[in-house]
Amino acid sequence: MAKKLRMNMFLFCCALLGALPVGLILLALLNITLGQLSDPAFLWLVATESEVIGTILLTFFAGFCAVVILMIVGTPLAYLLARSTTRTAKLIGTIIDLPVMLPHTIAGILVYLLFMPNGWIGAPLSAIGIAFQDAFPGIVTAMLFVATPFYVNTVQEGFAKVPVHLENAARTLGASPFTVFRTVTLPMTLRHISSGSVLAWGRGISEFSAVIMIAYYPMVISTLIYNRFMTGGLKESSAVAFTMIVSCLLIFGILRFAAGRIGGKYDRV
Amino acid sequence: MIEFEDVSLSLGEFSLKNLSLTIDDGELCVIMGPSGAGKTIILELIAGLHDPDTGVVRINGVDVTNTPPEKRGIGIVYQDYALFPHMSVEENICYGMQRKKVPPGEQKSVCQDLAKTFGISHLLKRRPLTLSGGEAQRVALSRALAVKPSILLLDEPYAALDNETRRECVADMKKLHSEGLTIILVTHSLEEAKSLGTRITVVRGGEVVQTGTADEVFAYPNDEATARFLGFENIADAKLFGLEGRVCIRSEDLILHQKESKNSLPGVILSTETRGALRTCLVDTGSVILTVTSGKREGEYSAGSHVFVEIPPGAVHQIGLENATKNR
Repeated sequence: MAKKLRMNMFLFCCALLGALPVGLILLALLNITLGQLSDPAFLWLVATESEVIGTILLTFFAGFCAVVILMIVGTPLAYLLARSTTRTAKLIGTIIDLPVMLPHTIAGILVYLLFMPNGWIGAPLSAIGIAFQDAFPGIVTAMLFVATPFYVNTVQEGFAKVPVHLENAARTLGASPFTVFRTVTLPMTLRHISSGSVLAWGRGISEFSAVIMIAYYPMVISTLIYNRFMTGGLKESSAVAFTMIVSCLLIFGILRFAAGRIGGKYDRV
Repeated sequence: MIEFEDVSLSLGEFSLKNLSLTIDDGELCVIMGPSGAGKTIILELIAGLHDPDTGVVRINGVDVTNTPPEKRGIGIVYQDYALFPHMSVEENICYGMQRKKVPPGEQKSVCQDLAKTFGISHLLKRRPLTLSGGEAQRVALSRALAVKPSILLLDEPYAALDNETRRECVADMKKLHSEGLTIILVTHSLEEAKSLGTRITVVRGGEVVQTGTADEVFAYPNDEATARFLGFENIADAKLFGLEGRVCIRSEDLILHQKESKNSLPGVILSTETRGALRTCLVDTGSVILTVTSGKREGEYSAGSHVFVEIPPGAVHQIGLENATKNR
């Protein structure tokens, strides 16, 4: 009995401490929600503005593009990192993690230096008409840069969980390495791929400093909120922010549900 | 026939050194050795899942050293069965046939035949994670057999099974062997090795230390470590029954008596220990301390008792005796 009580006390303390971060998020959301709902007409006016809707869609789409690119180039990388124990692989893992540690403004500068019209990559690409400065590709690149570790690390963890001898068994049954990857490894990692994508997408669309360094225009939602804050004040910018919060909650809800379904079907390691 | 010629392989800290081994067609070969001896690596070398650093692997006379596993026609069943968790039992069994582009109708009939043979017809729609150990084992076996391999590799397939299921699974395997399939089985269980193999290969530290029939290997261990691994608890220098040198005796082959008998040594019991229905005594004979295992009921001996240890002539095996089993 005393033992049970002690356990309960411990759990109670955990809950008490844990309430702080959860409470902070909930309180902040409650605060903005009540504020916005007190003037629904104004909120509606801002939320239906074509610039606001357009910016939100552009942000979502840029994040989506970054995620698609990550899926194509990040998945094979994650597989290599999961299967290799060499020092080079560890080094590459560390390099991949760099964008997490760096202040985002630095990430922005790094991307800008490389992709500006006379940058190493920007110069040859601008010669064939692909611009990054103040252009959509610039936004996608900045998002890609900061989101890469989130995707690669999550997916790498998924690949590491697929036992190598499952792949071996598939090989002896007549599957080539690529077929093994397609029919065994990848399906068993879908949950990690989907959650990695959601994470990377979330990271991408929330990026501000790295994006404005290379592309202030077209504005992404963070830029627009900052812009409105500077020009229209707190009221206007919080209305835009609230619109974005609601859109994000909706999208994340849908994505979580979809990811859960995919994972539930395949991921049974 | 599988031939290893001077095969060497280094994998991290583990290395296999100059392995030469021949396994004949239709043989049921047991590879045994302590953990980390390289047993699984040998199986994976046969299957083509590792490339040897040096040396040649031949199957039926053809050099397959550079042949990828998917082209070798060798089935493997791992200790944890390695079933694909995202596929049903039926999809697992049909996996290999799909890769080999077997027509769907034929896939279904092969799958059903195998399922019938192994009594798993009622499981075809289930997911592997919902199966018991014995069921999963049979699914893994069916999956490997569905592509009609010429050689079947079993990596400690019975380690995780209860006794009854193990007996059934062993019977399944013996049946396959009697139908002419070459089977190579890895185990670290002495009982299993003794009862299964037509031939036993003992591996230690990445080297084959002995190979021969079960009777030969268990009677004439090549060296002391092998003798210990094979369950000989008493190893000493002796001159006995015409044998001279290092000899080994199983503790259960020695007999305790209260009175002096033929071929017996007097001694004092140092300690006793009960292991299930058996009792093990350490007996100090003055020159050597012997471990003797006897049934619990065979006299009540306790520490300090004076006893006589009978050594039956057949129980003494000389270590390292040059015999036919060495490097066959």
